[in-house]
Order: sequence, then C-alpha cells, then structure tokens
Amino acid sequence: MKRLLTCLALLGFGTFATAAEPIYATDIRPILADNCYECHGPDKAKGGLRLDSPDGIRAGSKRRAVIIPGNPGKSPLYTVTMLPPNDDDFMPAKGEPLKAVQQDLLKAWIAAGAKFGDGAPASTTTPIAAAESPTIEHSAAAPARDPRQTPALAKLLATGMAVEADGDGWLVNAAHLPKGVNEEHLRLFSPAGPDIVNLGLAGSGITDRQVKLLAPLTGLLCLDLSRNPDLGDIGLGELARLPAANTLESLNLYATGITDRGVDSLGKFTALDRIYLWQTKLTPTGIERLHKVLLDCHIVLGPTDLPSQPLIKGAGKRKKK
Amino acid sequence: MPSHHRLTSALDACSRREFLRLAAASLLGLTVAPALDAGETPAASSAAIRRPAQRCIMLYMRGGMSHLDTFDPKTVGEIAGPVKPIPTPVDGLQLSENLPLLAKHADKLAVIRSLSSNQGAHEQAEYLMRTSYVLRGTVKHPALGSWLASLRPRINPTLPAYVSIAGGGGHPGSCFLESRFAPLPLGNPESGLANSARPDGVTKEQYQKRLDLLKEFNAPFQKTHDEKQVRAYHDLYDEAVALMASRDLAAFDLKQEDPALRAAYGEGAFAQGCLLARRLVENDVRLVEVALGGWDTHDDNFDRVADNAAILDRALSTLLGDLEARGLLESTLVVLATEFGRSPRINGNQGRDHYPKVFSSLLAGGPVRGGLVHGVTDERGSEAVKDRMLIPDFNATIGVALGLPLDKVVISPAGRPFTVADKGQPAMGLLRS
Repeated sequence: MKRLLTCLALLGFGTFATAAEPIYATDIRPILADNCYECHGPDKAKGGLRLDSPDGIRAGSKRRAVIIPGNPGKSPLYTVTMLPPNDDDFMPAKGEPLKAVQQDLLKAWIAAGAKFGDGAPASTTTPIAAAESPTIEHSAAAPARDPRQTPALAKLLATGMAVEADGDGWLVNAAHLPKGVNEEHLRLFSPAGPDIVNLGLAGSGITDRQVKLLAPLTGLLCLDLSRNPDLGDIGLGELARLPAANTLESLNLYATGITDRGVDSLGKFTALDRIYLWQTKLTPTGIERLHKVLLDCHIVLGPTDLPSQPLIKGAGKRKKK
Repeated sequence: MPSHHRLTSALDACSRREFLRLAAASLLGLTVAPALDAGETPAASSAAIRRPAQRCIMLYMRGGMSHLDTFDPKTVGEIAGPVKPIPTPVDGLQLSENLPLLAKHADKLAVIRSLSSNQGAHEQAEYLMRTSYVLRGTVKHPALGSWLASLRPRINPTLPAYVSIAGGGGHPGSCFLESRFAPLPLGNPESGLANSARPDGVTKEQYQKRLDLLKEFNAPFQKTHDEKQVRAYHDLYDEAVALMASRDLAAFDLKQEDPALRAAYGEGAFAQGCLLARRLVENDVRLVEVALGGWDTHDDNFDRVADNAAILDRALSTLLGDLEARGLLESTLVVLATEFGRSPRINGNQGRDHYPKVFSSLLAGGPVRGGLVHGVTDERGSEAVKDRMLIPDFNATIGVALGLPLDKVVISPAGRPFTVADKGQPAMGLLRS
C-alpha cells in the first residue's frame, strides 16, 4: 500500500477540464466494459471481483473493497490503473493501459461519491442484508376476514388467543394461554358466540363447572377439549344440555376423565360425526354401549395396528432385540 | 451439493444460537403495495375450500423415490422385478408389498400416481417440488412452508411456525419473505433443541440479570439505529428467550413420550422425526417437514428400496394412527413428496435411474378425501395416461388444502411477481369442499 502511495505521489495528475460530474452509465461503464469485463465479468471473476454491475463494484474483491467513495487515492479501482505498467498489481492486466482521460474520469467519479445513478447508497461495505423489500399485492379473491375489525374478537385476541376466519365463521384457539383458561376468558365468548364454529381448548385446564359458559356458542361445529384431566362426566353432561350439542360435528375428548357414566350424555349429540376417546376411563362395557348410542359416528378409541416388533432390516441383517 | 442460501448450509445439526445469527443476518423488510387494478386477472387459480387444514406435516423422500416399488406397483415382469402388489382395504387400490403397514391405512390416503416433471437432476427437481418454480440463476423463491407461515397467523405464540427436521442443505428457505418465516432447522430430532437451557451453574436470577445487562448495552444502539433489521434482530432474540422459558419447549423432548409409542415409530432420524412432528403439531406448529434420504437407487434398487420403504412404512403408518387417535388428523394435512420417480427399465446394476416423466406422491388428513387414486399410469409405469399433474398443480392442491390464496401476488425485490404455486391448478376432486 505504501508503495502505491509513493507511486501516486511521484506521478502527476492530468488536469481535468470538464466541470460536470462523470455519470456511471455513460462515462464509467464503457471504460470498465472495454478494459475490465474480460477478467472481471460474467465469464471470469479474477480475485473474486466483478466489475460488470454496480453490486459487483460495491462488493469488491475477495481481499478488499475497490472503491472508497470520495477518496480516489484510496480506491484500488483507480489506483491500480495509475501504477507503473510493470507493477504486479497494475491494471488492466491484459491489453493497453488506460488513457489519461479515462483515468481522470475514474478519479473524478470516485471523488464525487462513486454514484451509480440507481438510487442505492454508494457504500462499498457489504450490508447485513441488501436493502430489499418485497411488496404484496392483494389477490383478486376476497381477502381473509380480519378478526381485529370485530370488537368482540379483538378482545379475544388481546388475551392471547388465536382467532382466524373458518368457513363462514371463526376459529378460536385458547390452548396456549400462559396460565390456561379461566372464567373471565370464557365469558368473553359471549358476544361473538354464534359465529364461533371451531373452538380449541386442548390442555387449557377447563373444568366441569366452566363448561356451561359455552352456552353462547350456538353454532359450534368442532370442539377440542382434549388433555383436560379435570374434565369428566359432569362436564360432558353440561355440554349435552347446551345448544352446541345439536350442532357439534367433531368432539375431541382424548385424555379427559370421561367414564362409562358419560356414555348416555354422548347419545345426546345429534349431529356428531367424529368423536375421540383415547386415554379416557371407558371400559369395554362402556364402549359397547357407546356403539349402540352413536350409530352414524366415527368413534376413535386409540391408534390401531401399532407395530410392536422391532424393525427387521434387509435379508441377512437381523436387528438384535 | 452446493447450497443456495447461507441459511440453509447450516441446516444439519444447527444450534439455535447459529440459527439466530444466520436468520438475523438475512432479514428483509416487507411492505404492502396498493391493490391490483380492476382490469388485471392473475393466471393463478382463485379456488378455495371452506374448511382448510390448520397444520401440515410434509414428509420429503430425498433422492427420487421409485414409484413402481412403492405406490404404483406393476405386474409386468421385466418392469416389476421381484416386487409384487398387495391388496388394501380399499377396493381396487393396491400398494407395493414394501408397504404392508401403510396399506392398512389406505382409506386415509389420496394416492397421486400421475405427477410429472421435466427436471431430472436432484437439485433442480427438489427446488421445483419445494417452490413450484424452476431453479433459475439469481432468482430465489420461498418454500411452500414459508408461504404458509407468512399468510396464516401463528396459533402458538412461543413455538416457531415452521420447523424442518433432518432436512439437510439445499432448502430454499424463506428467500425474499421475512426470515422469521424460514424453517427452524433441526438436524437430529432425538437431541432436543440445542442451547435452549441455561448454562450449568447459572441461576434464574443471574440469567435475568445478564439479560437485563444485555438490554442495557443494546439500548443506545437500538435508539440511534431504529431500523427494521435492528428491531427484527431483537424481536428474534426476545422470541428465543420466550421459547426457552415456555413449557412448550417440552414438545421437543422425545424422552417425555411413552416409550412403547416411541418404539412403534421405529429407530432413526426420520422415524423419530415423525414422532417429533406429531408432538409439534399437537402444540400447533403450522408446518413440520421431515426428510428421509437414501432413495437415489441407481444400483441395488430392490434391496435398498425395501429397506427404506420399511422405515417409511412403519413411521408413516404409526404417525397416521397417532394423529387420528389424538383427533389431530382431521385438521392436519399430511404430504409425502419426492423430486422424481425411477425408471421402469432396470439397469445393469439392478438399479433404476432418474425418471421425472411420471411418479407418485401422497396426500392425507385435513380436507383430503381418503381411499382415492388420482391419475393412472400405463402398465409399464412409464407415463400418465389419465389426469397428469404437474408439480405446481400438486403444490396448488396443497395450498388450497391449507387455506392459502393461490392468486395472492408478492412482488420480489427484483420486481418479479410470485404466487404460492406459480400458475398451478389444484385438483379439487381430492379435497372436501
């Protein structure tokens, strides 16, 4: 570097008559195209340097940046062209050296800030991310309904519940509230009740006594009460007395405290299409009665056909048990 | 194989600290443009169904899974080799004898036999399958999972929306969509989430003190550099800390699962990855991908496919039964995909070579109608004779099943318009409307 500076100091700089700033597209790019693209372009990128685009120039080579905007004396893009032709770092490495007027243009362009005229900052440091922004256009189809526009649903969102459009109604998921669901939360269902078609309360800690607070949900199609061990036959009985008992198509009671005594309540769900009862306290007697009470319903009692033997791989390679 | 994206080169055994560093380094902003002019009609479909799935598990068979030895068995001797078809509970639907356990779940499956692609090289074909676009020099497209994570709100606020298990490099990631829609990569599902516990000897109070100190140091920088990238970096950090403290982190711990069920899935990263996928969707992670490699059977096709199919057979059949038992299958879409099929002609090494002209995939769960076959191939398994389905069509079908607007146009930073599945047309007959 010191050698470069010494050389620069020894060389004279030609006077430059033009007052206007050089323009990248018309003044600089042609110089680079004629003298540099062959080795620093789309076919070859010697030293990891591409000079055939603003981004390439900004990115620099593997070793260093090639322009410091405002400082041609420290910008290798210019300084290497001013070296003695027999210098190892002299550029262009092939062909004729740049003419004085070309060197002056490069120098003036860098001195004026090395602008590319593409609106991007003339920085040669690699930014953390390119300043790119994708833009979204709305689709021709109606956009998904926004629950935030309905005050009752906005209140649910504020508690941390997830709310999303589902068919003609709404899906509400209260399974991930930090301290589970309480009576206050459940009372919030009231204003939007008839429009909630899908309610997720898995593992929310809902109790038997709280079930009656689901009365306002008069159009409920799917209800997930799974993984609530404190929910049992009493809660199921409460549910069977609510309007939802006539609309529910899917009821998930996996890992709840339902016993054989709850089977009669299940018979009251007139629209039921799918019911999940794995890891409940039902006995074979209860299950037999269940099949008689829910005739058109898909009853899921647990995973079927689970493999129990260890996997035996390929002929001749038997796994040790 | 060179990876395209810096983020994806660290997918194997990526610690969460690494992930945060890489994710923060590729943050992008997002702006909303004015609505389309009334006169413009997008070429993508505007089809939709009323009750889409809430979550998705995508099983990716890397290497080009032979369709003939799995989901589209043939009887012509020189094509079929030693592999025979077996019946299933669904009339008229036969699967390969390599998938006996899965055959019992045929009533849940929509088997697609007429997939067709023109990409015969692994990298290009996998890219097309994941993004619906052809791999072109400088343009990068988001994976389908990133579209889902960005277009539908998060259900669980502490778990990531999108997780990729045993995926390996080469995943397109979220590209020009924000990096928070990129998948959280997990190399080994059995090791839990790395770097998610406090270091030994650090108490909760000490940890909180350190976090507070970090916030103090960062505050002046954040104030003077109130840019989107800086804010997003700190959001990521805050999210990571929240995840560490949440009880949902237990979802990643397979040791908490019933040992018998854990054994039923089988051993190895794919099988245990399927179990982890079930645990994650049970906690409302939107999309989980699990990959199984080893399908590139240019030689010794029959033994290798038998071995690989045994792993798939056991893991997927257990997964379907497990999801169903927990009431999750009706709202969880399950997808099985691969980049291309394999040649009907058996080569000199008892192998099958790349064959994109026709191959098979699978859909199940969510709004998918089970016990169906889509598309028919000729008796030699060499081409689709009915209902040919291109890769964008396949992804469009998945998009509709997941409630995504196929015609929503996103303009990339370079000014090109992109949609979820390019111009793919969904096969609506496979879905319950």
